[in-house]
Amino acid sequence: MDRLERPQIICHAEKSLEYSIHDVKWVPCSAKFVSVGGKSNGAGLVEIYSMTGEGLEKVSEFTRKDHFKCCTFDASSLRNRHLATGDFSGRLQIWDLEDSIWPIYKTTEHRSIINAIDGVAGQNSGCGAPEIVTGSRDGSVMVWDVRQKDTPVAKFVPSDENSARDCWSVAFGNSYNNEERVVAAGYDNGDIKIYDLKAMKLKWSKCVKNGVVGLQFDRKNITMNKLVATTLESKIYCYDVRTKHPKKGFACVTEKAHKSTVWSIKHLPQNREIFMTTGGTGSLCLWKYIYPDRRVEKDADGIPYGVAGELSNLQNATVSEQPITAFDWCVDKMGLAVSSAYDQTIRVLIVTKLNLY
Amino acid sequence: MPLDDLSKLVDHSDPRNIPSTETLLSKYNIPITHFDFDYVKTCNDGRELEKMLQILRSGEEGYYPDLAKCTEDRLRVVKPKSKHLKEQVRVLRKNELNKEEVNEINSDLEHFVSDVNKKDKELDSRKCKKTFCDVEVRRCKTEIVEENNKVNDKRIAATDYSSWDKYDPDTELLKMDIEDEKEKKTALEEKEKKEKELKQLKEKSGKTKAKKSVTFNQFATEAEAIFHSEREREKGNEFFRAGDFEDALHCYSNSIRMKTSVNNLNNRAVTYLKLKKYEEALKDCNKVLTIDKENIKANIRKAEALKKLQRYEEAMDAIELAIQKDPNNPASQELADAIRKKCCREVQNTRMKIIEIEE
Repeated sequence: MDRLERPQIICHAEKSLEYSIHDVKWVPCSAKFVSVGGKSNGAGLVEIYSMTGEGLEKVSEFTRKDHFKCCTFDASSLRNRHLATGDFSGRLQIWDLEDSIWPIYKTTEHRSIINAIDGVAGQNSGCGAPEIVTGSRDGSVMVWDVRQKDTPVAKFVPSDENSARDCWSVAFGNSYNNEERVVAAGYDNGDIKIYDLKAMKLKWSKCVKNGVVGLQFDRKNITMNKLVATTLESKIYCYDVRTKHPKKGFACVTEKAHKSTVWSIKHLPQNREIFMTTGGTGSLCLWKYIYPDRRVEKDADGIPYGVAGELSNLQNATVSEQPITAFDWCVDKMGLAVSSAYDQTIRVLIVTKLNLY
Repeated sequence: MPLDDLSKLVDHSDPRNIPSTETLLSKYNIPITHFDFDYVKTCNDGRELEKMLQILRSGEEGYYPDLAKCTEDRLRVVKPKSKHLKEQVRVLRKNELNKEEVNEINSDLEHFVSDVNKKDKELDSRKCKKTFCDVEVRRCKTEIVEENNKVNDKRIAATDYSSWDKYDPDTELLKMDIEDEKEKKTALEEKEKKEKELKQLKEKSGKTKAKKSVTFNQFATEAEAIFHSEREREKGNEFFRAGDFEDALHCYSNSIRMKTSVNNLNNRAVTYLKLKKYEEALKDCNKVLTIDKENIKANIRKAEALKKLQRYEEAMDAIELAIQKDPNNPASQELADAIRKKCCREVQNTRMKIIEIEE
């Protein structure tokens, strides 16, 4: 494709803040986003920003005792749009952003920092109950239903507490009807595990060499299709999780990019074959997955196995000198995104020409 | 290009580096004489050019910007898709774009912001604290405890001679074979089971189609209906692009049920065309045209459906409307030509009739 027709990444607005930003998320069905993090004195902070014509405007904020590490809106409906947060001391809290004095839901089951959070089914019907999954340094992965107080509805814990691996990333997937659902979790030793929530068992596990920082299915509410994992040491693994062969497992394509840790992976909500990865050198890489001519082949015994496609790099651009720790696409507007970096700056980005792909 | 100097450099480069790390030049084993403008300009080996580029960029052999540029240019010709040509750019600032682009982006964003703010307000005004869900809370009594350090207990230590005496490689091999067979069998069984399930599901969905349409919640707000409808349409687009037309059809139908729009009707029409359900495609196109009389896509698709249904004259009318609106679309021109050919025969037939009447 001609260079002029390639997507461009444009910085629409940026704002320096006075605290470390750990996560950013768009508020669904609005021109607002939240930024969560904490100050150097240890206090945690949630801020809500709104896009105004040219720039950004702070709408509201609230402060709590501990740094907020991660957040999601994906388990709440459009009419309440509650924010679920995980913090440095292991609390999972759910907030009504307009009335944030007390959280509407709270648990302290995790004994250590919640590194990752994901939600599902908040904004779709017909794909199961709204649930939240949290992954923590204590090595456990817990699944929560807002309607059940205090105890998780499912829990995956390491057998031995001393050898527990730090869980760095979690993701929901395969939630194509009311029963089926899986959770993928990535650990600091490079383990990627997929737990089946319907059968309550480990479905698949694989060790990539480096700690898994980012993990996401290409879409949560379909039969699981692709899973992308990003790790330390600049590796991106893209698995075709449609077809599993007893020996070969899932087909996989790997790429090297960013020349450092690949901090996060986010699929474009409007087109699951396109995703953005963010790197430790302040770079953004836009990728497109190209399916092979035949996704499934049969081996000599007639057992089907998957065939990996290709990743094509659509754009590679630097935004900052510092690692880009969080990135989020806007669901309501194709190409609109927000990112946060270690330079304590939030940026609203526009990626053009995505509709051509 | 001082080739002699270059080769000397290899021999006498920093002595601390040589024992620990191999230079790229020796690693790739490319003759030093190849680092020459004349050679590079005629080289057709993409892989070699890539390697040379890496060597030149590394600076291990010295700094030759012109030769690197020349190699890059050649590589662009020989292997335009090479990953070594991917350059890293800076994110663009608004002032680096030309005015038209900036204006376009700004007006697009303004439009989006004002539109989404309305929906946002509507949602806020109809806020509800409760979550409604007809699916029960998951009941899992068991916790999964993983065995983290799974050690193969059957492994025999290298010095455990008595055990090795008992070890019979043939039986072990046989055991492995049997296990392999078992795995294959279970895999095949699973596959069959899956296929059966799919079949049953299909039969079921065929029977209970009417029931399914009821399960979708009626949305309390317009904003919700539009949001969900759009998400479902996007999901359909993905299936469509991947060639899963049945799934795409399902998504588009859901989307239409939530909130009918020109876009999702048009998308369903083209899906019907792909599935060779021309009557249905025609219906959807007509629905679009009642909303937007001059919709180009709908007219083109309508013409296509009518052509397949052998109603050539109506097809001609539809495609002419589309061409009037957008004369430079090669696809619609082509379609028009194809229909015209078919039409000609019809026209002749009708003309005969006209003559008869005149008589």
